[in-house]
Amino acid sequence: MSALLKRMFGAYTKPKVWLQSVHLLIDLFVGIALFTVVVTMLSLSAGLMVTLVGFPLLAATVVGGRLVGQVERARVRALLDVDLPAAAPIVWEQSLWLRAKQMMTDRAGWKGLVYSVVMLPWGLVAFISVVVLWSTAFSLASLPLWGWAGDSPPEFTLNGTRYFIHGWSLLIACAIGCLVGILLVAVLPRIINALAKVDVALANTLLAPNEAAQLAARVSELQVSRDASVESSAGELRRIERDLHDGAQQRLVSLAMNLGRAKERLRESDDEYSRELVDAAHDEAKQAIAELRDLVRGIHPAVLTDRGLDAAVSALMARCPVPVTLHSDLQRRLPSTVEATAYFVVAEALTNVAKHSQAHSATIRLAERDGLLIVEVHDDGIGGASESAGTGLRGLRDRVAGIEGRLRIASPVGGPTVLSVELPCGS
Amino acid sequence: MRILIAEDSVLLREGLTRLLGEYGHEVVAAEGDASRLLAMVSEHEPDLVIVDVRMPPTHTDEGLRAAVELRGLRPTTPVLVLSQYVEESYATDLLALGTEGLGYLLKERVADVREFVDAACRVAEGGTALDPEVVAQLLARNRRRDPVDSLTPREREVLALMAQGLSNSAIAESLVVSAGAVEKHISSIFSKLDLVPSEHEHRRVLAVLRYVAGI
Repeated sequence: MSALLKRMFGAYTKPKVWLQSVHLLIDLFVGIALFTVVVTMLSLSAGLMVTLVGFPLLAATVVGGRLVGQVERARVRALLDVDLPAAAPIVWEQSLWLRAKQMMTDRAGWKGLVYSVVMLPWGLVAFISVVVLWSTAFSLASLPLWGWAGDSPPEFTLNGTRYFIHGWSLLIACAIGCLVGILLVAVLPRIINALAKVDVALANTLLAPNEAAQLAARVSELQVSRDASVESSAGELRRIERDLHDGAQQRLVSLAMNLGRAKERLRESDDEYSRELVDAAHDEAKQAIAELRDLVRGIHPAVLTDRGLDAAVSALMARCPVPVTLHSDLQRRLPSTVEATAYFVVAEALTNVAKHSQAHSATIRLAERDGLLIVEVHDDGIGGASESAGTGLRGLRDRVAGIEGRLRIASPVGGPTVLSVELPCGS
Repeated sequence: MRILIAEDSVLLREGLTRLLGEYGHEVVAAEGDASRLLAMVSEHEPDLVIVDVRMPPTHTDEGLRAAVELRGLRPTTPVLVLSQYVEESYATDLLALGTEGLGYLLKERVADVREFVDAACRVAEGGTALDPEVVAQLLARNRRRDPVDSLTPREREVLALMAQGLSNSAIAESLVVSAGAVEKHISSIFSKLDLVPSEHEHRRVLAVLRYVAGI
């Protein structure tokens, strides 16, 4: 029994139905206020168009539509407990003219205005529904109380004849009315909930960006953060390279030079043991310099920063044991992350050519077309290169994907191998 | 010999000064900033200028740019460029203005002090000192040219040593062959590359480099 009661009337113990009702009641007043302001502003703007004052007024009105969205989203959040995403902020253009255009064509603003206009009729429906529902439900449900308490029996007229309800018929009428009232009280929270849903749907359609726009906003957000992380890691590598250059490398060169001087001093000495020791130390210092130089070059080659891709690729070719030809028609410097990615693509490709391809020659092509940097490394070797064979190519694919590039490898067994990469590089 | 040094690392600047001093050369000025190079050269009129490629303010290649500018304005001032890395594109810039009194070495070559001082003297006397790595890069960049492809590996070795500025006897010593054999290789190289030999070493180098660097 108590379970049934709870199911029928439990909703009244929770704030939801009360808050929803309050929200629906407020809808009317919000509707009246917004409708008045918006319609006045729009007709004022339209009327003043001829004097040009209308344009800034219209722009301000449209942007004001965003304000409506802000306030109403807050109201929906507070009373209906629904969190609607805000429209993406306007990314302002530089020129005043473009800004004015942006304001007047702002979708979120216009949708806010439409919401303001729609809110009046809807607010009316919502207000009346709530008032009628609550009063009918509770007055019918409480019929027995004031039906008996009343002085005169209730009367009604049907086809010109007046009827008085009294005695048993009064009792039955009260009982029926009360039953209907109790049922109404039981379903009232559901009806209110349905009405509130209409409110949420209205706000969601007109005050929140649609799904595509939300996704687009999310994508551009992710893009910005991804670009920032790619750029920051590239910057970090350049910084490491410079620190090594200014610090450890100079110190090692100085050390090797001092050992060289010591070696020259000991040249005439009889102390063979010391001579051998210094010789060995001298050789090791030189080797350490060479190793550190190769390591630093692998982190970020200085020539890439100074001279760009063409020069850096030339240096790679020089170190490749297989003869390489370069065809480059790059006319300009590209963004540093693009240059670095292209450089490491060529470096890895040439390493593979030298190690696995058994090629007699290789060709590198660098070209810029339609905002894409095209890098192509072609060799006449035995082919059969695949990403599963080693981590090199897979790492390369990740690196290329990091800046939204595409990497393709064509390497049939028997050759030739063509590795081609497209990197977006702005236009 | 009076030397001017432009190098931003204090450690190396002082090391070089001491090293050159030990071999009887005087470092008249040592500077850590490439932008003042030209003024310093005018002031001191040194016999040799030693320049580091990477220097403040941008720490990229201002030392090299200063050296190129210096060679453009004062072609007779010998310049020895030192760099942590040798890059073919830097070399091309330097060689574009001729190879007389020009050196381009990896910084770490200072470790072999005697060879380094020899190279410095060669440059100061109007000769050439190119790092083996530079030469290798220049050759690699241009090996698609047919005439160089026609050289035998031995001739290629000889060409590389010639490009570094070594004399015939030095080449013979380095390859452990007779001077006569070297001369034979060289004349073969010249005929294959269609070059007329001349008496001066540096002009020989110039001719070879003109060819391999495509200048």
